[in-house]
Amino acid sequence: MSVTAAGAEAVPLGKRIRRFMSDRPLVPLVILLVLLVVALQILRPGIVNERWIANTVKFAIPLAILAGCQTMTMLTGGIDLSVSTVATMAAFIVSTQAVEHGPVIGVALALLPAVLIGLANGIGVGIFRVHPLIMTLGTSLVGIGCLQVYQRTVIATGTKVPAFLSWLGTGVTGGFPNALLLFIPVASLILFVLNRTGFGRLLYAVGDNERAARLSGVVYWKVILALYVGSSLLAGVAGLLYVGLIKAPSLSLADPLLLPSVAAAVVGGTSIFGGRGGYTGTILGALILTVLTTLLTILQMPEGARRILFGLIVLLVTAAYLRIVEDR
Amino acid sequence: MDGEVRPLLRMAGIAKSFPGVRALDGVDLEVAGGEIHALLGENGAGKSTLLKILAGAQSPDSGSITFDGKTMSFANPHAAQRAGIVTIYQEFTLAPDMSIAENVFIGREPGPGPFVNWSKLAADTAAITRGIGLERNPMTLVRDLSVAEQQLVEIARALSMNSRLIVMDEPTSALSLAEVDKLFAIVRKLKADGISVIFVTHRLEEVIEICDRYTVLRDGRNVGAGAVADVTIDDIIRLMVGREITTLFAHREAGEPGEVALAVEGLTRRRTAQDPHATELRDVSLSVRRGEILGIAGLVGAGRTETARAIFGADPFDTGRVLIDGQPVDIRSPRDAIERGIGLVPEDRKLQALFLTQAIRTNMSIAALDRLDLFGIFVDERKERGLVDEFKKLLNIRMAGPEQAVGNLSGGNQQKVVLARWLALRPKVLIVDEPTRGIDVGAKVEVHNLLFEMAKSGIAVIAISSELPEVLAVSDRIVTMREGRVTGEVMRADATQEKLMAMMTLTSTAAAA
Repeated sequence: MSVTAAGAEAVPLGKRIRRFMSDRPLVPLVILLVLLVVALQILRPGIVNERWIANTVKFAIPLAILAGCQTMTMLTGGIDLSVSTVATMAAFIVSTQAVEHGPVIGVALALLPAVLIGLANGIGVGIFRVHPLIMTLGTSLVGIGCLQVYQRTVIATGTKVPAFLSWLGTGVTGGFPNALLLFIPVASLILFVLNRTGFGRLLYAVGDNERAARLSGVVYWKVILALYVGSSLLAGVAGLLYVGLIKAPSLSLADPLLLPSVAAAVVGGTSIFGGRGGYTGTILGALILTVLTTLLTILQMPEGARRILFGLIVLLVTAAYLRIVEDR
Repeated sequence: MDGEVRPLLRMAGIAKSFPGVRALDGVDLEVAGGEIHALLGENGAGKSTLLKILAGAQSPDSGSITFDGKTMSFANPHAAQRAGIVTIYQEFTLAPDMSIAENVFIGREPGPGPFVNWSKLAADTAAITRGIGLERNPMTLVRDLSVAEQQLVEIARALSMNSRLIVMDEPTSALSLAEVDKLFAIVRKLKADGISVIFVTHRLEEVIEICDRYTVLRDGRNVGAGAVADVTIDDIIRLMVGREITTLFAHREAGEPGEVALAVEGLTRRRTAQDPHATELRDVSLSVRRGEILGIAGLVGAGRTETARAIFGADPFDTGRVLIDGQPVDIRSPRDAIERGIGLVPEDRKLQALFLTQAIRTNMSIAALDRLDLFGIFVDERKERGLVDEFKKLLNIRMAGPEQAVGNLSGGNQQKVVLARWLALRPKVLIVDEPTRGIDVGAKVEVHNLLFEMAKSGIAVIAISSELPEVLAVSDRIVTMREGRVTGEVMRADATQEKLMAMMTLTSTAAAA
């Protein structure tokens, strides 16, 4: 008895920590986030206050929603590179249509291309077995092209970001960003779908072992179609929110969010090969990337150096995280 | 050609273990110069491991290889080829989008430096291919050749390396009768030129027809060797199955089977251009009653798994029909099959059945999600846990809890999780393909007992197995297949391993039952 007790205590501390973390994969992410905030506070004492927190959350939310699209598609072993185009299209259309037709019709029109691109992605990937990378890249290019054509027809009208989107995107009520009014339901929905619904189960199953899923009666194309339409709709919603935050609709509005959305999901522990991961990690990943961006900005480095550092840190964090979590 | 002649190849005391399995346990193999040597044995007897060692693809744990009087140890396939031993595998290793000439001389193209002398390449190739009756322009793409012609390209490649010994692993399995005759003519010509051939086949008539000597393996050991002229097919079969029928597997008292639950009539599936190596199904008909266990026996490539997959809607078929309870049904996908009450436990549980990183709970409920739904949206996890509990007790699954990843279970418990997945649906028909592959003996007995329980509860069970003792132990009735055809049917009481082996390997078995 005493022998086993001694044996248990003899496990080296490092290994015990790793085991603890591999059982609770979110813990290292929270630690990293706190470390980044502390570093920020040390470099610029006093920067971390209520206003800064609200601001960080505001910028992290559109990224977190787009990263939600990546999380869900990556769980099936796919990826959705059309999210930035879909978001941009939604943002641009709502800024040109809402003035004339009112917010409801404006939002409906803005989300129409999202549904169409989602359907195209789903049909391409689910039925014709095009690789998701190529499929979503293709629809993304087509979408941007259509948006350029559309832009010419509305040059006379000009753009105006609807007031309710500015309120949602930038407003703060009682210290809390208004964007949370949108994000909390959206995030709850994603978490609920992934953890509690049959559809969520099937996403994990398809990504873990597609052959087994088919032989278990899963109708692959239906799952994939629903997934990509859902992903696209979310991207459209993120675009609406983002234009309210940036307040300057353009044809490349959401482009800078595309690769960070993939990075946030990966940093958050979702496997790009499918079957593993979850949305809570992704939200933490989006926060980490947003704080990291602030940190690199206040270091007042040249743009190039900032990007180099950002890339290296994402690589390092992902590699280190996988080593910690996958120690089984 | 007697004992005086020094053998070209002598493999002595070859042993090789894989984790948990002793694949070869001191095997000897001797092949004389200019001899056609048959290497025989059941599935899993150790033939392929022995050949891989000879080809340099695996290294033995112990034992020696002497080739042409010199002791050899091949670090890799390239070394074996340089020594003059070339293996032609069942799955060809040709590059389909390159020409015949490029395939024959791949990696050894003539030329100055990095450039290829195309006219010499073509001429050299033509000189070899003409000698073995392949009358094709050397620049023809391999993709455009028939399976038989592709095999000739493999042989041409072997000859271009000045091989002394060519190993052919089931060379005739994909060939028509006329093509087999042509191949045999070429093999005889090789022999006349002093080249030795090791011939692996499941068709024992061919052994008698073309081979000089034979070696039979069973369970990784030599069980017989000698001149083919001295034995009959029956002798060889006896050597192949030889082991005493194990008393390990308990038989069951067969109940009175009920109505026919599933019938298959004239199932036919042809090869297509996309899938030229698929096993064809030719007019497969069989039926299974409620409460009955129908065994399907056959060697690898006999079409057992393909039949199961076609019934289950996993692969399409060309003609034929499936009837459930006497009614023809249209099954186009596994989903359709599941809705009609059919379940399939596939042959490779890790590749085809399990989600290894997911929880046991998820793995068990995946096919039953629509029955666990609350309001058609979310999974009722309380019900789901109930399901796991129920089957944990029923099937005696040893696990830590419903959240444990299924990949961490032992093989036997994993298989029980797969069985539970189907039993949760209360199927009419359950097809189990190699239900005890890779699981330990104790778990095997448990799985067999589960099959008995299922039959007792009225499920029609189809059990596919490569292990004859298993087929004999679990089945009430046994159907044998060979090359996509049903070759016989026999009641368990009348079946013996020898009889089944004969039905599985011979062409003329109509009278066997």
